[in-house]
Amino acid sequence: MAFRSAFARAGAKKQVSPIANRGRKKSFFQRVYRDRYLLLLFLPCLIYYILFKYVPMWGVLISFKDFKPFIGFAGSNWVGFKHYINFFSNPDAWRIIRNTLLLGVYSLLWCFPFPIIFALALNEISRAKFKKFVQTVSYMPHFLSAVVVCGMLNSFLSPIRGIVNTLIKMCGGQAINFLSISGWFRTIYVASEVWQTLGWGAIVYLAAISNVDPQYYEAARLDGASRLRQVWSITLPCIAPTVATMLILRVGSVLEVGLEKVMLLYSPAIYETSDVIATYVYRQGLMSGNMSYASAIGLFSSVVNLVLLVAANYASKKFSDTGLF
Amino acid sequence: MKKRFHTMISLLCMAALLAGMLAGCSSASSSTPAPAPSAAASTSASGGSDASEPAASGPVFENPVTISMLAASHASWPFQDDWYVLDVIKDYTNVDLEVTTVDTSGFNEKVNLTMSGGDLPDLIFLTSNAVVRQYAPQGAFVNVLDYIDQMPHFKAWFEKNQQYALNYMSADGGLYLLPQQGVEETERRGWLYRKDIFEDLDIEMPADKDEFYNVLVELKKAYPDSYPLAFRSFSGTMAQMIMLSPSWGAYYIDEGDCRFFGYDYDTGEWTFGPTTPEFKEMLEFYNKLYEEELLLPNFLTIDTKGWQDVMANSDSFVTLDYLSRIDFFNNAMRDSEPGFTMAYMVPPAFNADVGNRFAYSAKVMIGMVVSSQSKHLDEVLAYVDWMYSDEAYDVLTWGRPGELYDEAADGTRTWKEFATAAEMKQATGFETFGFYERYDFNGELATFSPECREATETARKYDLPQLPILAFNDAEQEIVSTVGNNIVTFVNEQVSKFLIGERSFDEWDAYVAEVEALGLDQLKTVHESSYARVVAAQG
Repeated sequence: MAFRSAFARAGAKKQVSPIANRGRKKSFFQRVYRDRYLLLLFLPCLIYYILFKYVPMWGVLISFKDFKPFIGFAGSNWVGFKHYINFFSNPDAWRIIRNTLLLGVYSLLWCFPFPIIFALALNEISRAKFKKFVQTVSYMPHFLSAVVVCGMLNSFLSPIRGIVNTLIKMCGGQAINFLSISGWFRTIYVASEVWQTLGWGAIVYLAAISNVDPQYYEAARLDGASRLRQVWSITLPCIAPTVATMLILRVGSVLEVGLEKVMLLYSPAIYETSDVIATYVYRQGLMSGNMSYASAIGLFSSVVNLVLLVAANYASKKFSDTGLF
Repeated sequence: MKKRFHTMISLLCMAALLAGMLAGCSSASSSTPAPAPSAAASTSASGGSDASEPAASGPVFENPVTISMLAASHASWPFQDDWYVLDVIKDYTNVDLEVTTVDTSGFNEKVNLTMSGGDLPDLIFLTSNAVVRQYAPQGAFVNVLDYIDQMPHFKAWFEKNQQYALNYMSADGGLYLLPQQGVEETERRGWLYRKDIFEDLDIEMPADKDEFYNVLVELKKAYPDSYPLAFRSFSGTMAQMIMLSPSWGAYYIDEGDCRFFGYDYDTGEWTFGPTTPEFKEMLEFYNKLYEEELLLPNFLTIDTKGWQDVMANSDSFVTLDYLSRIDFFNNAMRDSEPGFTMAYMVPPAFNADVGNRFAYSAKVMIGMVVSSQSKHLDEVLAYVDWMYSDEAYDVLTWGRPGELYDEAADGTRTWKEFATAAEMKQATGFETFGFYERYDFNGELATFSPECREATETARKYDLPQLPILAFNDAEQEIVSTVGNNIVTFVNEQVSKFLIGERSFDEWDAYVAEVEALGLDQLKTVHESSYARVVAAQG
């Protein structure tokens, strides 16, 4: 808040200078000329958004058509809500929506708090070298592609010679056929997700923590506050706006379950828990080249995401005064 | 001065950024292949030569012709623009091929992009029939049957192989995908076993279901930590079932052939395999193997690499795969383990009525399509026609006479240099996507080890008849892509569960009822109406 008003003041001060003195408003082109370098810097970003975000939005129209690529958009027939009706009348529709939501929610529940706790813990380490080392190691999984991660999971969890089952057998247990039993899928997916996002997700919080004014801690120490007390009463409240913003952003992508990863881990035996919207679209839409059907489902999940995002933003504003818009 | 300098620097940076972006855009948009530049010129130039006359001597065209082609490039033998095969084609036809290749993994995407770009090359060599099903009704490709009279070589081949060619026919009776012949032998699959281990333990070849089971038990007794039988998963597509179930007297869903039901040529009846008692019997058999740890526990999920390791480590001794895997394993393993011998096993009789027979596996639907937009269609068709000639059959398999092969007195040919099929393909481009329509499989057989060659020849004797490959029209496709897809998902899931004991066989009747409730009757009708067209086309 303070930051915002200071910014406003600076802006106001600037406007008093030469422009106001001359007593007339500059025309649009003069202002463009004045800010030409700033605008030029902004241009690539603008082009990117127009080209890759706004132009493709017209594509959702094909979900109301029987799109035939070779004939083209104009030549394809309008079919109204046919593809949407097809999707919802499918016996698996609710199962895949439920699976997608559950995977998204579980990922959120586990992947969201861990980086915060990790950042707080890292912040308490006083030996800089050790801290750097831990941090670097924790980033590493982020740079692995889904193919590599799933390859590792496949061999670790293999019922023959897999390290996990070898350990289980050593402790006298029975080997578990992890990837063929539907009950295990969510655990495996979420756990590997946590492992992959932990270090990378902590960066933002570490940055927020380093912005906390050290004077607060000094004052707290003088008052005899313990380390834990300091974390609870100073660090956490200070990074709360960052946490809220990150949470809203995460909620907005709950339905965006990683297609690659699920594809590489699932098999018909575990469709029960692992068949999600993205894999369904892949199987029914893209494999058989039915782009209209695929984009209908794509639009549906975007709408759900939007609703979730707006709801999360509303809740956040109500409870913590922090919001995206 | 200093300020000017800074301005300059920042301008330069921005210019560089912008240039980068523009370059990114333009390279993306230019990825659709341009039409052959000399197309128009060569049409007029070669107008004098009669393209439809088979050229007994001399090239097909008097003057050079450029034909553009899009083809997939296989990672193991990537396309080279100086391949021997291009030289041969140039020699015999005077055609300069302007080839655009994309790696097999990105090929379908490339085809879809090309289609929506609307700017097609003269020829596309397709690796599946799906593209034809999707785009032929939209008018993208030429129906070669409309031009058959100007294609004498093709006509002769077609009349001799009509039954085979009908598999490639579309629902409207058109033939858009030009059928290849010869390469389908590489798809041959069968039972493979570790001959050296079997001989060590003095185990006889199993002749039927019970002996097959006993063999696995014996192997397990000798190697308690092993899982004697292993399959790989083919990315969860249940492709194993398509190969396994026919020997039991039931046919699994084969989406590649557009066929969800099995067909009985004697009764003329379409039957849905996965709900039959024979299929249940098979599931119970493999479930028993799974429970007794005779079958690799993760056979439903293991990837190809994992399965290779299992076989190489002697964790399993019996498997089902491509016959070329015999050489694959033996060549790789004999350096470290000289006795390692993978060999072909005659299919056991799992069902007494079926006998020692195995699913028809030597089939693949690939070949060229001709663009309907081609600016010099007559020349393109003349080139394609040449590919069906006996001359092309010979030189696109073996090269120019005597150059790369030795010929024995009895006519058997052997390669001078190539020890494996991969070497042959990498060096020459023979038998790679885009460079065959009629292929002499002896060319690849000549690269096999004697045991692998023998296996391929033996296996032919145990083939079950090939079932019809169907083509659906729009109305039928609508049912297939809704009802059919739902049934595939459901059956794949339930069959997996029965196999690993996640669903009890007590619920079999409930399962059958569940499948029927998904619209099995509708799907059956679709098969009947589609097949009626095939029968009508046969005359």
